[in-house]
Amino acid sequence: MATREAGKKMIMLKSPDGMEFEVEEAVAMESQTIRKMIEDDCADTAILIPNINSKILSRVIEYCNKHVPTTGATGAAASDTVAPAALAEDLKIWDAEFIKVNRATRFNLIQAASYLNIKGLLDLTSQTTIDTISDNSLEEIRSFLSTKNDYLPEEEQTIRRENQWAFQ
Amino acid sequence: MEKASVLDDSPDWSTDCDWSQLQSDMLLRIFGTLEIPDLFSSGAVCRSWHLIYLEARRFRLCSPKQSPCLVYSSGDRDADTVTLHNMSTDKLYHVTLSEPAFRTRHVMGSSYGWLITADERSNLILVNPATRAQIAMPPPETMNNVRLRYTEEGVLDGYDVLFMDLFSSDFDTEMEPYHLTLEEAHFFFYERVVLSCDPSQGNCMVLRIQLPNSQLSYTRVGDTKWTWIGGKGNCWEYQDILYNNNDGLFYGVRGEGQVDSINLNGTSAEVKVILKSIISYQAHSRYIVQAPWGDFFQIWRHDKSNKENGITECVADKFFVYKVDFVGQKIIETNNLQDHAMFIGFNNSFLLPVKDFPALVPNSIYHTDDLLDYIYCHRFSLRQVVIFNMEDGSFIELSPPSSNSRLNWPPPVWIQPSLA
Repeated sequence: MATREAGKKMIMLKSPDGMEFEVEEAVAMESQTIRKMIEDDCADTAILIPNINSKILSRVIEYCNKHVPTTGATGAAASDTVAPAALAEDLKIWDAEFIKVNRATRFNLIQAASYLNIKGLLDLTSQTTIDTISDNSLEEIRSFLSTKNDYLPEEEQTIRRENQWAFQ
Repeated sequence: MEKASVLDDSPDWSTDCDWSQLQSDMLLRIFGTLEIPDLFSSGAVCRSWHLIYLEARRFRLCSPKQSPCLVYSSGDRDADTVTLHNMSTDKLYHVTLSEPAFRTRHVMGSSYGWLITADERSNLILVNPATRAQIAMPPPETMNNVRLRYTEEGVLDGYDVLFMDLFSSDFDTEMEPYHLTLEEAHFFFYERVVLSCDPSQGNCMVLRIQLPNSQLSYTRVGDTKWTWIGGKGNCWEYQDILYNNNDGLFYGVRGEGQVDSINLNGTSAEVKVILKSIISYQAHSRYIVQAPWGDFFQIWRHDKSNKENGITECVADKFFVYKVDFVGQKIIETNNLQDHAMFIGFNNSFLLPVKDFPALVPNSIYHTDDLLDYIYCHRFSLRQVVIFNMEDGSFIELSPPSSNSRLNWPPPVWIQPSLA
């Protein structure tokens, strides 16, 4: 295992559009998917991250950089370290700014968080989606998400009948 | 909470952004945190979300954290419609139930997200307003002290209700039976009804307090009759009952503050006194409530008469909250609910943490009018819905949103909706 003494060990992440990002291993290991690859020794020099373009990957790295614990962090315990209250508050404000992106970017960030299994980013992106859904009408949700109503008219009727609460 | 509308809406549709293709595990995770109306809306967004929604329903992944609602009939809706007033969002939801019309029913409880209602023939019907599922309970004439009464022409006319003698475990033949109409009988048969679990799942026990003498009887969902609990000489004068999930027993509080445990898990009911009488007289109404952290409370409600415009209305005046100490065999007055809000009335009482539902008033009692004698005599008079603040003793009348009119019949009750 080449990862245990990973003080400043660097790792290369590659996006499918050919961009390369050199990041600290501890930062990359915010992603449980990458952590697993590293721990299983499947990551010698560079890791190809499929399905995540360079624009999104750079935002994900930005997120991980901000969230990787800075003090006393060893690879294994990094994500379990509890941040002091002030730092946590700072992170919350930073997160709120970070997620102020357009719907397409937000969607891609959700996909990336899910694929890379980054808990904090998953929580953040799903919460913004929950806020979109919560307390809005069906039409508003469709419009926010720019999702098309792809039901046939008779299907829509059935769903309306079964599901009155959603149509008020 | 910032709404999604403030998000950067600059056009960026060039990239692949198809929300209908959101991964199912992500969507399940999101669905698992939503309030039921939001879940329903999400499930209707598009075909692929609908499939994931069905999966969430099938595996019962819906959030148990549902805001409490007041359930009632709206004057501006038809008689079949039930209205739910969400206490967190102040929003109203209107749901059309199957027959019989909601407005013709008596509502005398809610438990595990199900309303406990009785129709005009005094048959007990459980109904879940979220799913609109209904479950019929055994009819009143399966109670051993109830007889159907017919007119000379052979038309069903009402019920004759015999007194039960707890000492002989038999009918009291010296007392003249009650002669009740088919409809008014529900006030006698169902003073309180509680369930042991969601009735659409497994072995659900149903316990009720009945008149005369506020005795107990029980059935199970799927059973064909009610079984009376008697024989010990003291199973009467119950005021409120609950089911304790931790030990699988029902608890009942009686007129003198006594608490009994009622075990329905064996072949016959077993009743034990677990808190001795507190006072030697009966006064006012009592509730028994279990907190999420395990403690039991007794709530004693004092009423007063309000005389306005020549009409006398009986309303709640004060609530006293006591923590029950089963070891010390005493009750201790308290005004601290650990930042929870308590919901009492006809419903199965419950407490909710304000940290999960910030719109609720902490250390307060949300109460719906459940004074049965008074409702029996004045069915359409005011049904008070109040929030009693335990910290300063103040009352707030809870009104419906201005666009809506809340009817006094059926009696409004609290519910915590559930899809489980």
